[in-house]
Amino acid sequence: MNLWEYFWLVTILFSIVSFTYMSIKVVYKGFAEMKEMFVQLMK
Amino acid sequence: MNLTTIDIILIVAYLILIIFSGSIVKKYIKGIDNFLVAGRSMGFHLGLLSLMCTEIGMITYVYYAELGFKAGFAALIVAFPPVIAYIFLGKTGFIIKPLLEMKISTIPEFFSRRFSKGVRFYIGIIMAIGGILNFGVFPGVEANFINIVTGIPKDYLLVTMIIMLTLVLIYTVIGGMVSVIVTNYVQYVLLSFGMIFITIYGLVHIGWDNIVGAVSTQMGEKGMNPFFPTALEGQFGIGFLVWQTLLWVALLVGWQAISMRLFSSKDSKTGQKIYTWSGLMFLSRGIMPILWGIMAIAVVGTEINSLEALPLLLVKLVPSGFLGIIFAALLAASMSTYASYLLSWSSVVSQDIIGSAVTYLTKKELDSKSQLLVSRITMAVVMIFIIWWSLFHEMEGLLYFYLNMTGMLFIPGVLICVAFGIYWKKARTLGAYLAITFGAILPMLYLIWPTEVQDYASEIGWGGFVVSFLGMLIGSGIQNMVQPKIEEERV
Repeated sequence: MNLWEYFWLVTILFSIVSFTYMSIKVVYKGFAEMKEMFVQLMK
Repeated sequence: MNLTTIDIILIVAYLILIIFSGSIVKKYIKGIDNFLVAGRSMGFHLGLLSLMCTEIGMITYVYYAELGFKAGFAALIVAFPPVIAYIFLGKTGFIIKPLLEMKISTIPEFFSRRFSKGVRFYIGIIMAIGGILNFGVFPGVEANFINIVTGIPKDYLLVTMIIMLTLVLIYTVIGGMVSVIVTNYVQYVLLSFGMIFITIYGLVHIGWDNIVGAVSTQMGEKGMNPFFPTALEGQFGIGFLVWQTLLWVALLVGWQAISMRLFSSKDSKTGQKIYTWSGLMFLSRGIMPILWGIMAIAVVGTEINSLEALPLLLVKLVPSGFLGIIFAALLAASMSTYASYLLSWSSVVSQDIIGSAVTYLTKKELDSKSQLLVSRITMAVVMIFIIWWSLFHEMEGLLYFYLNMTGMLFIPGVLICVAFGIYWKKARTLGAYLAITFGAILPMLYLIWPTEVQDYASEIGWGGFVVSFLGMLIGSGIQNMVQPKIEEERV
């Protein structure tokens, strides 16, 4: 395995892990923020 | 048809859910501020989610996959410049902090406050041309994609696109940014699942060694190393990276669909935080679709039209029970992009071109109700135009570069004017006019003669910023000599 191949593999794995983690986080926390946004808009 | 009955039921259920959730928010739209920037009440996680939805469409997958398909692993380097730009702006607050504190809704608004109403009108026109030419190729590229993935015959494609766009138009016209944010939520759940699924399933199913083997056989060293033969001569070498980083810094300031999201956030701290974390999210936005294009080399071979690599891969790769949900995820990605792009480009036309002209001619501003009406009508007109444009436009060269160059018509001028307008007291109106004009010249060469100048795309790219900068210096210098002005505070 040469250096570039190793670099791209690490990049891809990092991308999958970070994207999965962040996606779960924004979906979970975004819901509460959406409710709050509607409260603000009704003022 | 490649879709089964269950697939179709899933897709229809998704569409009904979107229309319903997009339309119930009408009662919250009380004025133009609620309509354009959701009353500036958007929190951090929602902003991040919404920005991702806006900037990921089917077209994003197609142009990134085309790069991976054409250039192999070396193309993955293209995913890094946006990461650098986002983290730099988010962490330092360079340009965006002063803009957020000004509480503006569109970028051209800055131009009328710092330079003059004429400059706002001028940048509004160039921005609308660049933005709408950019947006205009979306329906054609995506219709072709849908045609391959679903097997809907080409004769029905125009009808398919019009139905999809009309659905988007209905909920965007009703609820503006509030609708966009609510529908984005549903769309993101589907979109992120689809992206993660295709990436992991593809890697496991095809196998890493097979993918690397296919690239090495087809392209050799060039397919692995972006700096081959040297960092200066490589297709994705230093010149390309400098241009792309500048372009992304400028896009994050001046690309209406992105910066509108920034202006919707509830305070400048939230806005900066959204940008910092978008850096991490945008890495995957590039890496995953480029990887799909690389997978296509191993799965479908290199003897096909490069824009069709991704849809052909999906048809071959995705197991039959999953195609419906993957297709719904692709539709979700696209509809959210259309909604935001319709809102943002039509807001330039309605607020900055029509609004400025009306104010200039009648000496009065339109009231909030008329502004809403004008925004809604412009949206419908923009939609009709892009359907018409996509019927006639023939793509030459890589799609990624076409999309870059249409944006480049106004992007160098915007970055130079905003940066110097904020940080340089001596920036003057004539400088702004020249910076915008000079910045548009080089990208126009690419748009008129794409095949003749495509080897110089990177030079045209960073060169556009250099000549725009010179325009600002020359114009401001002349005006400062002819009409010196009294020192004022920084805006």
